[in-house]
Amino acid sequence: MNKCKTRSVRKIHIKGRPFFVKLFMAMFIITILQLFIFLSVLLFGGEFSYIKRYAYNAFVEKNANRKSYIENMLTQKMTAANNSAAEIAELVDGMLSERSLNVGDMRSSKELNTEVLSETSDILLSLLRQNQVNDVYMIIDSGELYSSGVQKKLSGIYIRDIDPRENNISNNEDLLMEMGNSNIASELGIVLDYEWAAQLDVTDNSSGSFDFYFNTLKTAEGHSMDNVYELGYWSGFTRISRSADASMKYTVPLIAKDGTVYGVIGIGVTEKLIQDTMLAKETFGSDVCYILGADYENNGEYEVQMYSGSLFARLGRDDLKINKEHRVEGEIYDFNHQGDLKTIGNIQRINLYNSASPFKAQKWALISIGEESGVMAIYNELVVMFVYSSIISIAVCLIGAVIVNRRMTVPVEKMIKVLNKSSAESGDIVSFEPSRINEIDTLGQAITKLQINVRASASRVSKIIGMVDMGIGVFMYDYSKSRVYVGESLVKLLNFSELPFGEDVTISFEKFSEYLRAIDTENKVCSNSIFSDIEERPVKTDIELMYKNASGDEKWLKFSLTLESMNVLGLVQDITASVNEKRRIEFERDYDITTGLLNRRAYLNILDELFSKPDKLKTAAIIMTDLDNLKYVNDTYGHDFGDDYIRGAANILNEFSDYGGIVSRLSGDEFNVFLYGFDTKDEIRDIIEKIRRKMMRSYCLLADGTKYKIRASGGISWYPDNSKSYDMLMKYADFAMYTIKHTTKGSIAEFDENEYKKDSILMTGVEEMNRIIDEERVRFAYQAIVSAKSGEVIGYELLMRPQSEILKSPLDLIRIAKSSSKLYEIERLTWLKGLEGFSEQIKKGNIAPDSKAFVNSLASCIVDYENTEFIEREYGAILSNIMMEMLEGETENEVYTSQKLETIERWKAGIALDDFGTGYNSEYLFMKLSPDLIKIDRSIISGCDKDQGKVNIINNLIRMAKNKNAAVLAEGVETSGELKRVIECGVDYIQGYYITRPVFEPQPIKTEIIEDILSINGK
Amino acid sequence: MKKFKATCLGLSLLLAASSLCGCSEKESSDQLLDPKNPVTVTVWHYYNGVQQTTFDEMVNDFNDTVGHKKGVVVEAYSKSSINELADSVIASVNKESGAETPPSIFAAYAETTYKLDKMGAIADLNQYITDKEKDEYIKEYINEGIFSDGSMKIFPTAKSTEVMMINKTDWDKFSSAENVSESDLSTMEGIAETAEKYYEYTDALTPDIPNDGKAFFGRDSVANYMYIGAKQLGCEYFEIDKDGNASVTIKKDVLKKLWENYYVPYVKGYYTAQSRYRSDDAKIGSLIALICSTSGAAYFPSEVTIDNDYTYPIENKVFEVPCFADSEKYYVQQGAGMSVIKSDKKTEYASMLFLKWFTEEERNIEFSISSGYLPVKESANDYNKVSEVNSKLEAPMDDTMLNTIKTAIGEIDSKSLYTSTPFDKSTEARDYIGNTMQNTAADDYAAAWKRISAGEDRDSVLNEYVSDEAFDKWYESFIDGLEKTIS
Repeated sequence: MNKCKTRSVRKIHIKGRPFFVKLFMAMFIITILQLFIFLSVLLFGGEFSYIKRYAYNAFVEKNANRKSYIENMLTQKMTAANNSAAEIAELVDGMLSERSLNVGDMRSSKELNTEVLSETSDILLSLLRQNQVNDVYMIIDSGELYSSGVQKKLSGIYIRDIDPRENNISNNEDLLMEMGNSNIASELGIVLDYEWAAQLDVTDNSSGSFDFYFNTLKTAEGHSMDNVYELGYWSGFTRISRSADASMKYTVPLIAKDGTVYGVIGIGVTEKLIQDTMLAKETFGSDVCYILGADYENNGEYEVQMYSGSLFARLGRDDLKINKEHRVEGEIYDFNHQGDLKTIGNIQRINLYNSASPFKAQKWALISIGEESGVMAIYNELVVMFVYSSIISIAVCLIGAVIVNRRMTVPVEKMIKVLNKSSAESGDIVSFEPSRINEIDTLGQAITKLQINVRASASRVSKIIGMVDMGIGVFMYDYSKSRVYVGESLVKLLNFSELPFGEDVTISFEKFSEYLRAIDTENKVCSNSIFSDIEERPVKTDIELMYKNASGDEKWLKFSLTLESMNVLGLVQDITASVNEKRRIEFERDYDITTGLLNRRAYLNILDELFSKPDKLKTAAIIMTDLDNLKYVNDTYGHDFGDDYIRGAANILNEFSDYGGIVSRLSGDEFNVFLYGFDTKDEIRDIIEKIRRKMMRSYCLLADGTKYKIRASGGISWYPDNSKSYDMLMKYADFAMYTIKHTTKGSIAEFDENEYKKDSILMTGVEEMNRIIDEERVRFAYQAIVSAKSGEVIGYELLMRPQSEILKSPLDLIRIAKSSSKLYEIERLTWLKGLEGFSEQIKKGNIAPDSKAFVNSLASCIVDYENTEFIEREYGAILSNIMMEMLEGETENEVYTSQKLETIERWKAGIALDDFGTGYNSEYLFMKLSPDLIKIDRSIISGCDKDQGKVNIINNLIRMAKNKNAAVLAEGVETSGELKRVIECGVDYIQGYYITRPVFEPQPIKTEIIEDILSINGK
Repeated sequence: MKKFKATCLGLSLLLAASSLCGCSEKESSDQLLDPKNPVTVTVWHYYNGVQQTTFDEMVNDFNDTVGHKKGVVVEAYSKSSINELADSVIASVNKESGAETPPSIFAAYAETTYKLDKMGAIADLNQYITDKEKDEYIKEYINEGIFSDGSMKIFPTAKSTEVMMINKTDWDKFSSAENVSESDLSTMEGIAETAEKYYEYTDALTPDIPNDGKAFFGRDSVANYMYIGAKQLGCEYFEIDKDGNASVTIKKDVLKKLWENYYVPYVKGYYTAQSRYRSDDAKIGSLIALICSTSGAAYFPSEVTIDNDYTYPIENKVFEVPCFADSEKYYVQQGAGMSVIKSDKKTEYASMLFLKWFTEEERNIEFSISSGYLPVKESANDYNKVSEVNSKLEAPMDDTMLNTIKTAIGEIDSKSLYTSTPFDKSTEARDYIGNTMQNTAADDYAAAWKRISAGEDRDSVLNEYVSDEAFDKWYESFIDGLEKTIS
């Protein structure tokens, strides 16, 4: 093994690397490099973790969507049941009062019970038909009327529709009566179910089957509640007879006018209905299951009510604890952390009760559990795909390299073989077989041609060299005889005065060395070294030496030596001209012509070299300087004076070189200084301060004789504290410089990393939104609303301003939130942060404590119970100051709207209808919501002083509002003309830029505006 | 090398040949299915209540096992009545506005399938079933689904016939008080006589209230009575010629007999039909004997509630359906089969996969026990097997159901099942015959008893309705209407 290695190493050393190996290695390295870059981008760019997070988000959002679906389904049914309960209560009240009876009589008259049930059955049936529920029922608290002995029975009616999706049925053929009077069944054409009973036998409630009745009744009796709907109660899956399927029930109490609770009505839905309407198909053979859970105890742990999907059964449902104890990430939890199957889960609260409900502590939720391998399939596949594609691309590259190389090397090898052969019997002209590779064939032809040419010219060269005075001399050293043949040309070139001019001479090697040493003052071409290693390096072309001739001019010579059998052939060239030219170019390349300072390229080269030996740097700084006012000088006095100004500054900056600094003009008015090798920052700071002072004192004389002060701003970044890379340091210094330049010109600042980060993190909108939501990065601006009579501030509209460089506009934020189902979060921030800010402003004294807070609420969302409770606890004192602005056209969710109205009523807060007058159903909404205030849209106000049509609209709106005792606010008043006109029309309040713009810290209204308002009012 | 080549050639020929065979082999159509991309099969049926629950459970069972493995999802929808179902299917195939997309499978009587087949909408099931498989089913059931061109258009899934059930508790009370016995219940005439006695007996229980006797008997399907009765009496309603045109052939004396044994006792109050099903009438004590489909037997009550107030438990007894005296024995064979709508091979195959699975012996028996429908395979119509399967069930059924099935299997074994021949208007004709008898009886009962309760003499009022002249009038209008219905 070892032997092998040594041999191959030697071989390579002697022969150089084969063409094949070189090409192949290059291609291989490029491929590896590409893969490496690709992988780094994926890993360090965070792509993998993004994809993982997106997979999680998709999982959560899917569950959220399903939850919304179920929530909507259930709340719709609740609303329908509530309405039916009201209808029935009214009907029963009517029936009883017609006969001068009261609900208590239902405990003594069976006929009355039957009659009531018969009369109300139509309402129940239409509740069943119109709302896709399995069960409808009404149970009357008939006391002991139907009971006998220990058996307790209640009168009622209970109808079941096994398949409520099938509603296209003309009669009641598809219904079953589980319980109730058979005459009613016969009248309605409903079949009695197998276990039909005339009354509900509630004797045995050990399994909680009748909790739906008892809990509802008991709770209703214990609560005096204006709103009966808040007493509705959801119970889990129970059955009322042995064989019928269990259903989950929503029960509403029936309450007479005098407050007596005399029964319940309700609806039931079976597991099958919930599964069929939304879950069945998708969960087929899937690795996700959905669970409807209820947390009756309010301890954060959900009991399984029903589930769908076979995954749940596979998990073994007994020991599964559905709670938020084991968080994986964000809203992802692990409920099965003890099990073998790796799963993730998500809990979505289903809001069934509003905050006033006595059952609000009972929580329902949709829980999704997914097999991690399934949910993360895309992520996992991606990783596998990446690995495969890497392997394949390496393989393809290797094969490609082998093929290409073989095609390239074979013809070259052939050529070498031919050449080797021919050189053995010298003299013949060699020609090559065509290789079909253009370059190689051309090379072959060139070699052939060269042979011919060389032969022809060889005899002439020496003569010509001698004839032409072109600064070239030749010699030949025969070291077997230790003699040197010196060509006539060399004698001429080197001015060997002791030798005869005009002919070739042969002298001893010692003599020759002596001559050489005479000119080789720096001992570069010491005779020993130049010839002693000629056997190891048979060709030398890199020996240059400089000497001063008799007249003191610098002369440059270049020696080229070639060993040929026992002779060293030497060529000496006078390269003075080209050296001078090269120097001139180098200077121009590295220095800026205007200032004589290093230019950017040279400066970076120097830094590059310095940073490759970091131990010499110690403490170092990069100072970025930018001239102030150069543009002004250029524009006012012309570029020549501009250049003077630059030169003046450059001269001062160049003093840094006294302290070992490297000074460069990077471009136009930008200079850069690198100071290094110091022990402390303070040493550097002192130097900078010294030179800065000097600059403060200096000026530049301009055309008109003014002494124009030289001013520059600067930024400093520190090595190694800020970064160890010079281009980062330059960037940081630049950043520091621009930051200070934006505030105060002519000063110098050090780099601040925090500020830099804040400025530069760029992300996509969604991530930004998530960040805004997660970190609650919103502030609120306050736009004052003033009285149209007195000009006094009566309140402020709270306008959300996301604190983000990327998402500055609240509308963008809402749009992104909407598309990623995060509107709820915005609504939550609106209330929580809005009220927090508002209270702070009150505390600061910027806002009077009785000012109204106009809060823009999103109609399609509602703040959940916990947050509502929080708001009520924290901001109880200002709740009655709130005016909730509702947007016309966004009130499609009736349930949320009514819940909001209910909240507003409880807070004794007000409702304002926003953008009023622009929607098509303004009046309808106005009647429906009875707002305390309407805000006339800016599109109507704008230009109203010049448009009688708009004035008419304003007048109409005001009349309509006054009829309903609603106040009127004119939005978007921007000119004094508009102000005058709206006050004349009789609006109550005014808001707009003319009064004040939205600001973060409210200021008092300008006195001239108040005076303006007062004078329009004639005061 | 040569040997190798030869082997290769041989192998590939073998592969080609076997794949050709595969095309004709019915079993291998499984390759049409893809578990990762399941095909959805919708079933429209008319099961309700207990039957629906059981059917849904079986569908779930299928989806979780065979369906999951092979890639079939069955979705079942109940259309609540066979007529409604037929209308919906026809509407969907005709693509009427507002109609749903057609199902893959629907429960159908021959008439409906016949109509849809004319529209070219029914798949021929012969492609998906071998003769050997067919032989496992009761021959009559299979034959019912074979159309004149030899194609198989209806697949038997669950059949039913009728049984008679009595409330034994109340019967015992009655029979011990009066001179009646169970043997009186073996003919239709005997039922009518017994019903009269029961009316008198119950009327006498409250001597102070006259004319408050109770009905004894009721029948769920009057149409079955009319068809089977006529067949027993040696006559059918129609003759159908080669072209499928029907002409009325029912004889007047046969109709007279049918009229005398339903219309007459009904008008007199001995028979009744108050609720939608007679089992409901039995639940509230309106009658104590009834003839119902085996699939309705599950609803026969275990307790009776009088006036929605007083409840007492009862026992029951199941009898074969009585026939007319001295007539040939016939029992009705009913219960829809399942037809498959023409679609693509994949769906049709999946549909048939489900139907075959559903009629596998033990599963078919299990469905029978809880639903009252009878198994369709020869081997499954065996009471011993039925009771064996029942004993293995998690929740075994009670004796009522077992006795019903036992009685029904007895009826089937007598080889005297009858079902009428379908033709163009057979559905309408059947509806007409059943409804006319029931409606005239119920209307005349209401009219007569209105007069009686107004104080007219019972016997003279009733005689007006049951006289020979009354029959002649009824007969003429009946035949007239029947002719119109089929024309």
